[in-house]
Formats: sequence, C-alpha cells, structure tokens
Amino acid sequence: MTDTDPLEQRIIDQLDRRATDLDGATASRLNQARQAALQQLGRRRWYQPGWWMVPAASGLAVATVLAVSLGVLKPAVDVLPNDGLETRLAEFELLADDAELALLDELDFFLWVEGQMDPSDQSDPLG
Amino acid sequence: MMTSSRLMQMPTVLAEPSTGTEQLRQRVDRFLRSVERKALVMTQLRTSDPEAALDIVQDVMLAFVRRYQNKPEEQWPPLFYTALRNRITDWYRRRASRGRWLGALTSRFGGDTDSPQEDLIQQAPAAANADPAHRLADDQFGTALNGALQSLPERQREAFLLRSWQGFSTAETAAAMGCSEGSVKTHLSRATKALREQLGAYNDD
Repeated sequence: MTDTDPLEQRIIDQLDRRATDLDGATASRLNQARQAALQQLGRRRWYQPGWWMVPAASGLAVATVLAVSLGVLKPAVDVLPNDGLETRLAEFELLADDAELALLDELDFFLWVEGQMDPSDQSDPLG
Repeated sequence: MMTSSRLMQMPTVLAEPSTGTEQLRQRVDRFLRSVERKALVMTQLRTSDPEAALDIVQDVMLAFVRRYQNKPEEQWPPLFYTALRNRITDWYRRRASRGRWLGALTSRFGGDTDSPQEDLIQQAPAAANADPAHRLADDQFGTALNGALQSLPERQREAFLLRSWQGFSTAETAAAMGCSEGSVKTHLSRATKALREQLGAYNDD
C-alpha cells in the first residue's frame, strides 16, 4: 500500500472515526485518567536520588566516625575470649542445646533450691 | 525577624519552579490528549475488552508521567507506546495465569455452572454500549476491518497501526516495538498484504 492507496486511506479514516467518536462516558474516563496522571507531575518518589541525600549521607558518615572513635562500635570479636576454635564450638553446642537453654531459663529456681539445701543433708529437698 | 517586604518576596521566589512545572504540565497534557484516544482504540483491538482497555490506558498514562516526564519530548511517543505494549502483555499474562488458577480450582472443586452465565451477562451490557467499536460494527467495512486487524499476528498489527495509522517513522516504530527497522518494514509489508487480501472487496466501494 502506498500513501495514496484508497484502501489504506479508508482504513485510516475508519480508525480515526473510531478514535474521535468516543462516547461521553469513555471520553470522561479518559479525561479523569489524564488528570490523575498529571497530578503525578513534579512529585518525587521518596527513594529517588536527589540533593536530600547529601546531608543525609554526610550525617551518617560523621556519626559513624564519632561512634568508632568513642569505642561504641568496637568490634564484637574483641569481646569474646580468644581461646580457640574448640572452645567456641563447645559454646555453640551449649547455646544450641535446648535442654541447656531451659536450665538457663530456670536458673533462679535452681539457685533457690541450692540455697534451701543443708550441706549435711544429702536427701532430695523436692522429694 | 522577617520583615514584611521579605515576606512579600517569597511568593515570587517560590513561583519560579512552579512555572516550570506548569509548562511541563501543559506539554504532558497536550501529549496525552494527542495519544490517549488512539491508544485506547489500539488497546481495544488487542484486548476486545473496553473496560480492560480503559484501565490499561489509565495505568500507562500514570506510568508514563512517573517514569518519562523528564525524557526529551521527541522520545515521548515511542516511550508511551512501549509502555502500552508492555502493559497489554502484562494484562495477557495475568489473564492467562488467572485462567489457569480458575481452571485448576474448577476441576478440583467441581466448578460453578453459574459462572460462565454470569460472565456472559457481564459482557452483555458492554456489548450494548454505544462505544466506538460497536458503532463501527454497524458499518460493514468497520466490522470487516475489525476482523482483519484482529486476525493479524500481533507484531504485524502493531507495525501497521503505529506506522500507517499513528504516522510514526520507521525508526520510531522500531523503538516502540523494540525491534530493528528492517523488522518493522517486514511486519508492515506482511500486514498490508494481508489487509489487502481480506479487505480487497471494499477497495472499489
């Protein structure tokens, strides 16, 4: 088909008519949709990079430097005793053991039981 | 303390960016007005669902403003139709996915025999609406054109509508379709050949 092809022109005319002869309800909805879209103009998404990031990043950097220099963010590994891999694994097993965790939960009770026991009495206080 | 004269100056200072926004608003408004109706017709041809077509065009207008408002204006038409094509594809995927789930649930739980009838009833008012598609159906050529366009493979129909109807250049059509200019020419050639074969009887009317 060329630009002057009558069949092509007829197709285009039909499609144009369909686009221009929209019923009122459809045209109104299109208008509403366009207005809703235009409301988005100039709105910045909260995560969109912009100048606001400069003071935020600067503040974060300063806070991090201060925290490190004051020892607040001391590396956690320094807190743990450096006594080898086997000890760490044993501690891990202890922490992972549910029974031992239950013992820790009821530590106050067991301490009280121990306090009630007479050193000379070997019988079970709960028995 | 702020003097009254400085207070008077503030609206002037604040008005500068809003002027730019207003100019952008006018340009975007003009652009959307120029494309919205043809976009709706193209979407109706793809979906055969006037309600879905309206929703899709609305979504695309929102997405276009959010994503592409700062792009050069000459890029807006292909970007808009790229967004439209992607949104229509997404609509088809969701519909197919929903159909699979409904099919699975229907076969699993026996199905509801009223549902297909409800769907038909829902579609009936739409068919009675005086929308452009159904006004064209009164026209014999319009009906034949609908059938011919809908029978075209998707890429051919897209190439024809963008290149011949919308008046896009080959490069703009290629950008909107996400393919090479050579592919556009091939799709367009096949589309026009198919349309000529199907609508040839109306050529001499």
